[in-house]
Amino acid sequence: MTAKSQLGFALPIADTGGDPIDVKTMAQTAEGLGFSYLACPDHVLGVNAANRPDWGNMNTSADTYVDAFVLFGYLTGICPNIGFSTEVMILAQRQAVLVAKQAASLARLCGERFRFGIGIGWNPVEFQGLGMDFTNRGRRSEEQVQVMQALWAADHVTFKGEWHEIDDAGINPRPPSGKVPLWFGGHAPVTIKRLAKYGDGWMYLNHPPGDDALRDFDTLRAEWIKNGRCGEPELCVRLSAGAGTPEEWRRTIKFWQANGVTHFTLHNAYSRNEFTRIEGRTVTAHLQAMIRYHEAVADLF
Amino acid sequence: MAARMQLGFNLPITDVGGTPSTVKTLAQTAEGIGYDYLAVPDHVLGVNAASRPDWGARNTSQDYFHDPFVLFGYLAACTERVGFSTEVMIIAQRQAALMAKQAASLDVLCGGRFRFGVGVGWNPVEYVGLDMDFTNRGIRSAEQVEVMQKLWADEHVTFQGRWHNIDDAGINPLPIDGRVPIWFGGHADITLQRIAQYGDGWIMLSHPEGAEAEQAFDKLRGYWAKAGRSGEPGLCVWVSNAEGGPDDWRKAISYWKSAGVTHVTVNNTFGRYQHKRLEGRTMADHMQAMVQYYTTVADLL
Repeated sequence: MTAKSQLGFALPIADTGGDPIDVKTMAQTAEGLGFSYLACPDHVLGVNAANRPDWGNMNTSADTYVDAFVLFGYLTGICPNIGFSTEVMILAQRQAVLVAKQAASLARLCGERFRFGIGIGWNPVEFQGLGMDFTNRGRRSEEQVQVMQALWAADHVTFKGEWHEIDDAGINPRPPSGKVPLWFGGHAPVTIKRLAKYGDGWMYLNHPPGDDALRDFDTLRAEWIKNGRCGEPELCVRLSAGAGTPEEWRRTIKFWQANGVTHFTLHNAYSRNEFTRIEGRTVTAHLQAMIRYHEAVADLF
Repeated sequence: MAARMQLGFNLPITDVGGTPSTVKTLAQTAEGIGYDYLAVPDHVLGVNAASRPDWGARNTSQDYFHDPFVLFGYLAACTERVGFSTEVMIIAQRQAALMAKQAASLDVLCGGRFRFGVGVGWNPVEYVGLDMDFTNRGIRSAEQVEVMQKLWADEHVTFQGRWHNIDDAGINPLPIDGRVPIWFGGHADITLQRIAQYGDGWIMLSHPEGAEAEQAFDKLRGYWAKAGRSGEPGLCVWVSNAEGGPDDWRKAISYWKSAGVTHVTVNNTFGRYQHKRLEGRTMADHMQAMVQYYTTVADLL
């Protein structure tokens, strides 16, 4: 029998905007209903799509993204129990040392309710605006993870890598347990290797429920063992109330649960891959969808 | 008649640590007593002083610094009206676009209660760790301020500077008023010119009460007028309970008010230049000092 899985709610701030009352209402409702964590995505800059006719349905400046560290700091003061998860933060466009500092501050203030989901992003405009190299973001993010984990674990760090240099210095505060759980987005073979080496879990979006997904999970588990890790990697998938019936939702969740998925993020404002977003974009529409979905599946958690 | 002077309280986290209950208690007590704003300093990394025998009295890894954006996010949820001020954040070791994003996120969540105090720092070890150039930090910080102010004011920014390159993109959310007040620390002549060009105020730590301070204020007012700015620059100074007794505190407050100072921060953990820190370092010491200072000078503000 596997451990109890967790149901989380992705705050649809890209739809609703970041007004504090709206954010507070959605967070408190999710916590009150019994959701285990709140998730939020990350973009620092959005492009002006009016001057980019071929931009497609990728995110633009029209989408609101409240910075995840500031937002979760705020929600820590609102919600006493619920967890927080970035899904995902684009690590390689930020400075690893500062990210380590902000994640540690958040871990202290929220009593380690924070899981840190990271990815490498896709938008060169953001990297350029932030003065970071887009072309080496994957490899560089691996060194960033090494730097962060070293800073979280020890008072003083001496590090000399390809892109980072720390001269016998450290962050204070560090997270109480000496670590921040690190989850990886993405599905490239090299991401799976990094995850097995440094990570705690996988934020999985590559395939819908089925054999392809299970093969991916097995690939990760094999890498996990090869790296001498004990236990199993945790697995997170997305859910949406935008399509399907309650019976189908339950079938999907049961399939994933039977195959080792530990975390489920209800994301009602996401329309890529097999997902369909809900129609409405207001706080009310999102609260209704959240409540309806929760009612239909809560007994499975 | 001069406007009421604002009295702020510097959170003594380097002395008492930063557990959520500690910072919440300090913040809510200060707000309840009547303080107008809360201030915090900023360091991302601290050095291991054990391997640096000549380090002196400067900050080390022993000193606890929460990241101000995460901390103020938390305190925004724990308080109703008190303001927030960084005194100061070392901006040239961070990325301008990310600071613009995090400051805007904080501004939105706290309802415009944030003033952004900026400085250039003194510790090359931090800059190396954060991979930023220590040698050009002053001049680069001016371009950072330009970038941030553009990102706060407009949905889309195109900027090509010496160190920043933004290609028709922007942050979302923008701050409520399209701006975040910028206050500068430091005392170089060029800093005063930058305040006149970009700033809202000066955080002046370099001169005690007296003619030198007044001359410095006049110099800034001269630059201010020459830059065609209306009104007067804001002026902030630091005081402490350790500087004499209640009569001296009252004299200090009356003097600064007559000199045109608009903001006074009670900082009981700073002992450089002419400043003196509080002898005690416990929560009780700091809470007592906070109450005593306010009740002694409140009628003079």
